[in-house]
Amino acid sequence: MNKGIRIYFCRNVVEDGVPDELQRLGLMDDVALEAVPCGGRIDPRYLLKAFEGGAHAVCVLTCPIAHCRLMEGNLRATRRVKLAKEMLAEAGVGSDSLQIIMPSEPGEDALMAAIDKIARFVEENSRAAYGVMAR
Amino acid sequence: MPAKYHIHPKPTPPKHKRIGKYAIIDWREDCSACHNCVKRECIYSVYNDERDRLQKTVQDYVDYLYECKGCLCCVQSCTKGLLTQQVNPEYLEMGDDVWTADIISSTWYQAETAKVPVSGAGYPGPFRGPGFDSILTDMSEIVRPTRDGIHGREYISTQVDIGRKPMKLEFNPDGSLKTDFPAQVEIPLPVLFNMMPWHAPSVNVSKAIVDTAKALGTLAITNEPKLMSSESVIPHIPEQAKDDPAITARMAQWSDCKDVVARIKAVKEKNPDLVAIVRLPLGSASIPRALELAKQGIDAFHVYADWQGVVGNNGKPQHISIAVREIHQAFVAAGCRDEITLIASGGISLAEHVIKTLLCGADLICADVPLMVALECRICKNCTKGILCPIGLADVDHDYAVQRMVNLMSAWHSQMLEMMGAMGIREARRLRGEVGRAMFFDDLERECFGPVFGQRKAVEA
Repeated sequence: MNKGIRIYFCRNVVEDGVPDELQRLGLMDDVALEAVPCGGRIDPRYLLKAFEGGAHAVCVLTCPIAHCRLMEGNLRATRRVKLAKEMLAEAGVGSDSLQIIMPSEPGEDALMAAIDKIARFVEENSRAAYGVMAR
Repeated sequence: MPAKYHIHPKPTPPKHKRIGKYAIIDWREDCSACHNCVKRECIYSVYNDERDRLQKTVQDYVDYLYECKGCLCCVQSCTKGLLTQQVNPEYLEMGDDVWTADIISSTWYQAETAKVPVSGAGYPGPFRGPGFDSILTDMSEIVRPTRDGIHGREYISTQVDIGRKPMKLEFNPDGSLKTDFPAQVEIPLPVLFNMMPWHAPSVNVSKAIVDTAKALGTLAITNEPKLMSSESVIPHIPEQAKDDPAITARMAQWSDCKDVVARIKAVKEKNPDLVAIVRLPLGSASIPRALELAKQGIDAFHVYADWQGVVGNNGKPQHISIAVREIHQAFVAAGCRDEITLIASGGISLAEHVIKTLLCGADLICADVPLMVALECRICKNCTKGILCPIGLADVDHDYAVQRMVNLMSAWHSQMLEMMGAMGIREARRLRGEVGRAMFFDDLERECFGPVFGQRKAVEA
């Protein structure tokens, strides 16, 4: 089934296991969680493919700046998201529907804050699409 | 000449997303688009599959992320060094020390393809480990082409017998056989199917196991009342239960209890062709009981370790291979090993473990957890905690489940043939207790290096 909201998250940012808060988002009917081995594995094609497959919002969660295990995976993810946004804008899709979210620093608190941001992103986009939370 | 035993496998893709081990990450922005790109050379076509999936599918296009086989060919050959290999943390979290992620992954592969698993990157592990990994098999006849496992001209039989065997034959003066031949059951594979060790599977899964046993010509032990009428079932009769299912069965298994011999005798009066099995825990404490029961006429013993192959043994944990050797040698010393059948179970997860358990002295084994793994079980044990099963095992499709388990047993059968061919053994019956074809690393070490270096000491972490 096509999901309306896709969340790609770097496996390394949730190294000690996927937090319950993130898993709970993945259990929502309209949300698909996809783990990627590194933020640098995000491909603009995945992002565009998600929209092609019926998603109306896509979010990417990577490691904090300067804390990527592969040195620059999160930086590359940022550039790829930017590229995809430009392509979406050309196609007439609002660029706000694609977001990259990074914790401000390593550690659980910053990760939880980032997951809160994702939850808000999901809520806003669920409301935007249906006017209600997609539960 | 009887027909060769043959299992009919069929490729059966998984129904759930596989948990792969390796992924490749590439810095595509820096790519200089070489005309001889290493991605085109991938012998497993991982990159081509990725491209095709992205072009042709709208969903599941990230499922190939962990399809890399880990040969490192592309990582080493990329002229700009843009590729990096990553190991999937989810893969590493699977299983435990005994049921390792590699064993689970290998079992999935066998259940899908029915092929012998071959590692793309060679054998990366140590040459010795705990448990079954401390037993080496003697492949001294591996160069003998006519007995070459699967493809050899000579037939290698995996058939075994369950039941009591007479130690001698007596004849009447007219030459006719005087000895009453006790009931026996022949099965074409030294593998029975066991009940699951940590939970009772759904009727759906139990029925699939029984039907797989039927398709393979073997038998499945079960306590599911709805399945007792099947000819491929060995009813399990707990201590407090009635003996009714055994009255019509070819074989039945009883839990050990005080009056087990009297109960079995009572059933055998009604069903003289019954082969009776008594289930006993492995360990030195059970050996006198097993010998006593053997003297009283019990046909077969199902000796079991826990699902990780560990025997409690009064606070001194032992591996199943050692415990099976002990009970086998006790029967040999008592002079009655040839009369009875020894069935071992617990912690047997690979085809090589079957052969090694037989070499240690069992006649055949019982498989349990590998059957669940064939149905894509991840050994997360959510079922024991009442948490949702990630693959919905209880509602598995019947035909899919049967074919996956048949495929797994086909792969095991092929591997058993390969091992037996390499060992120069043509009969699974001859594997029993054939320690001449096995080398026990601990024994070798003690014999070769002990006189020089003394006893091995545990190294503190």
